[in-house]
Amino acid sequence: MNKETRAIVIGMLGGLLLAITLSGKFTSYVKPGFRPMLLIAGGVLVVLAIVSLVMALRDDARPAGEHEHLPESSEDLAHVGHQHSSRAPWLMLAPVLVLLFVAPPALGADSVDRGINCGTPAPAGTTYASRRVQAADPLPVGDPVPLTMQDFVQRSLYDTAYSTVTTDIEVEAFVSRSNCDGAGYSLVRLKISCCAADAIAIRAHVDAPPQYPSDTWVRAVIRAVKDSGDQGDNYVPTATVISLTPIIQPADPYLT
Amino acid sequence: MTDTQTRPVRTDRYRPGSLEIFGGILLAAILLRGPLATLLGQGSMPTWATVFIAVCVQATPFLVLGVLVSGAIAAFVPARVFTSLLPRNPTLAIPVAGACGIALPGCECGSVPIANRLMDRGVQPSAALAFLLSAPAINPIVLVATAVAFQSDGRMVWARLVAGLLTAVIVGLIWERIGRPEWMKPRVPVSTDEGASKLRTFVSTVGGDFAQVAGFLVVGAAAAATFNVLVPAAWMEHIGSQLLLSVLMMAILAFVLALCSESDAFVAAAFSTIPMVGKLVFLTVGPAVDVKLVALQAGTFGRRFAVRFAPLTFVIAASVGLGVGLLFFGSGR
Repeated sequence: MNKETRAIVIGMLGGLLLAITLSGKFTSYVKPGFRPMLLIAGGVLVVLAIVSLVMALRDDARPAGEHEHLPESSEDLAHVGHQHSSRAPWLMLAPVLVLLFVAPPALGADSVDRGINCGTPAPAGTTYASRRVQAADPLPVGDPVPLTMQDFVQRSLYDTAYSTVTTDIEVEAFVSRSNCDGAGYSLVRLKISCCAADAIAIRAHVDAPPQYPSDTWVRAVIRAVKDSGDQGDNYVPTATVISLTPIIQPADPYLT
Repeated sequence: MTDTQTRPVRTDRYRPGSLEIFGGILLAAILLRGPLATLLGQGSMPTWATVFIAVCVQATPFLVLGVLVSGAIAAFVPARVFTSLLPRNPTLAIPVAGACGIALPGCECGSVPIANRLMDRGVQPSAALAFLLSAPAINPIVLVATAVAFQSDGRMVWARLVAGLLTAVIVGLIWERIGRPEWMKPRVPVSTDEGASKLRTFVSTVGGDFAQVAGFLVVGAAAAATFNVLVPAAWMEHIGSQLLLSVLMMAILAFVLALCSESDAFVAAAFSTIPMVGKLVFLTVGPAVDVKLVALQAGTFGRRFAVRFAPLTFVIAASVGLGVGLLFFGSGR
């Protein structure tokens, strides 16, 4: 790859980073905290591309012989006779083209469905010991009370006061049908700590046929079923649905 | 403005220049846009594509930081600074370089070009490699993230610091004994030309380093995304509590998942059934060696280097993680 092409590809990559960050699309891939870093990195790459393009064009405009012929680009190195793959920079085009032409969506039901652990039901006649130890803080005000999926699941599993069993809770989640759901479905929110590669599903099981196809985002008013969610179902609480309203995907599709 | 116009053509047959190839690829992508979108829309391919892009996007800022530092070293820091800063004796230089890793806030991809540049500047390869291994494992951002993820057990931060540094130093010392220069790609004195202006050296080093390392990062991201789709979550949850087995599994998992060292603590903390030792092994192996890093190192230092360095690092990091873990936590959860 020569210096001009290299500069153009680096510029495209930087420009695309800026574009997905400014449009908010980047939250499909990394957590929102990455915003300033992505803006700086994208800006640096664009400036770098412009400066190196100008330098390369100026070099080429000069008459032959006056070149400060530094072995700079990988192609130059190849000319000098060093054996190694000078084709690596071409691979930068892969993410550039995928972002440009496909722009993959945020992770959805597919990443939940694949072989999750369904838990081991307790042997007949026994029950698993409860993991509830103390009462959670009082719920925020509201009717229904808005909570994140994470708060809902934690309260449903650990709260001795059963706050999510006795109160209507409103969560935003997407519909997913995994192999553990039987005839029912799950309300899921994915949690990431850095990027989509480390997504963990936070979910509640619903024991009713799904009203919406997988990957539909919904605002759901739900209550937890008392004492659901033990080792037998891999600590996934069961919820009863009071109402479901389809919504557009939230600006930040993941919990962080 | 293409190769064929500006450079003498060596052979008689037509050889397309970079810009023509680039134009061709772009044109093909535009024409095949529909099929490409269909291909990436089937089955688990959207998940693959999202994880692939996520790893690339997440790593790019750190890569940019790395190549900027590397370019600055090439352009503005004379070689004598490093030779006077580091002890001559490799046995001393390796721990010093390893400890210097604490000063570079970044993740593993950024430290590869910097280590490469340090070698250019006359730093012993073994010392530069100790820096390469320690920087992503023990820098302040990583340690703070680890402290946040393991709020319930403050020993993890110290265990990680000790294990990360120890791994870097041990691998450095072993490499000093067994490493041979011919395993590395021949070094090209990119910037010693006094005639070139400093800015020009800086720009061309940063551009060249970035393009090279980013290319290999793409390979690593594709591999990590593939494993991410293929390794079922149930397998991860069921690694189990048997000590040695869990240590081995966590080491392999750290290798194939290729998580950024700033976030791996959160992932490790989420493995509820794994003994603390297993989690520490995960946090020690991950920053030192993973699929993404092997690709980066193969690209930067050469394939013959990577096939020797990666297994060595893997074994040492897993053993050190196990040893330090037993020392800090015992064999319980």
